[in-house]
Amino acid sequence: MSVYDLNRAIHAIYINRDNTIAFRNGQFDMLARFDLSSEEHTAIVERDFPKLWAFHVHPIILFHLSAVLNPREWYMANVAPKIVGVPNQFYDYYLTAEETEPAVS
Amino acid sequence: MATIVSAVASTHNPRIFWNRDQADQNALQRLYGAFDQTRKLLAETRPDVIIAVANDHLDGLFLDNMPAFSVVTGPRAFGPYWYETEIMNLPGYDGLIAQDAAASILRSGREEGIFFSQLNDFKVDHAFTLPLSFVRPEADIPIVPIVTNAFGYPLVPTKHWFGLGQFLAREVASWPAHLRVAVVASFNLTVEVGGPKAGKYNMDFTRWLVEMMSAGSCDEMVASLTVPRLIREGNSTSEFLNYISLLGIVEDRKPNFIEHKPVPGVGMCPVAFWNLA
Repeated sequence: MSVYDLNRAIHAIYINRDNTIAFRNGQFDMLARFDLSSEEHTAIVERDFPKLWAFHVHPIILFHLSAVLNPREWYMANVAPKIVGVPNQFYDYYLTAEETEPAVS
Repeated sequence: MATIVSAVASTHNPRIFWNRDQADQNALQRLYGAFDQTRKLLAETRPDVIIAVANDHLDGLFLDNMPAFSVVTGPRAFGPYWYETEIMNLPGYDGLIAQDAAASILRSGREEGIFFSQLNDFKVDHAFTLPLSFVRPEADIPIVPIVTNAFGYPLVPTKHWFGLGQFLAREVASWPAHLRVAVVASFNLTVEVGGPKAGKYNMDFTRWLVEMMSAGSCDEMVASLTVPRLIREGNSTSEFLNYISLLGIVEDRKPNFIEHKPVPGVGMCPVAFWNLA
């Protein structure tokens, strides 16, 4: 199990139309190709987006998964409020960065 | 020698199509009018080649290989992805790539320190197809797609995005053929995708950004808009770095035309045009 494999699994669901349709129909065989923990597998199958955020799915990837399953507004109402302050290694990457980047020379 | 005759900076906000039914229709028509005007202004500069600078959205590139800048050297530029057409209602785009120009940019870039990755069989996503569909729907002008990384951290600092534009200006000027070249940069203002601030905007920052764009305040934008500064305003505000790359070409020239009013129900949809002929 790894953050990389979790992200790759979700990417595989939405980037391929056939995989998306299978996922919508409750067919999850494609997930066997990825090294997922049982908690990660369950979070994907149950479409538990706040938990996937906490497992460090990249925000763009998480939103794209939602986009192929739900209207855009569903994510705003049901996910965004539940992930406020929840650590995510991609989202947090620059939020604590100091302004150390040099100006153009 | 070749000349950059025009430059376009365009939103690639997919909600223009995805949320069009929820949009304020008057504002949406105004936006379509702005794109139509940009299309006409671009056509008047009679470009032979379009260099398009846009970021991938973790569609064609993934976390295992995220080059800062890539040149697509294959024969065709086509896209977007299935979910962008079927679910988000985005128009398709399929055009030829100016392969000689692409190969020259790739070689010169690597020799001058812009360490481009090379992509051949690569589908472009809506960051390319949305602006190009608006400003050149005929898809009859060969393009050079330059794919940027705005989401796979760490990103290269702002000065290198500016340097990309400066390099493109030098590169085009070095071409012996009398080509007329347009550059289209695809970007967005403050926006968050998939994060807790999704749907919320810092309008003070956005207004400041638009003022800087309208005034042609190149030095101030390049100096102050560091990667962390942009991302603090929304995780996808890093897409503004594509605009920074265009500043390496237009420098402190004010755009001849700019439209930046938000479209209620859709969000920010800026578009700007420079006549450099």
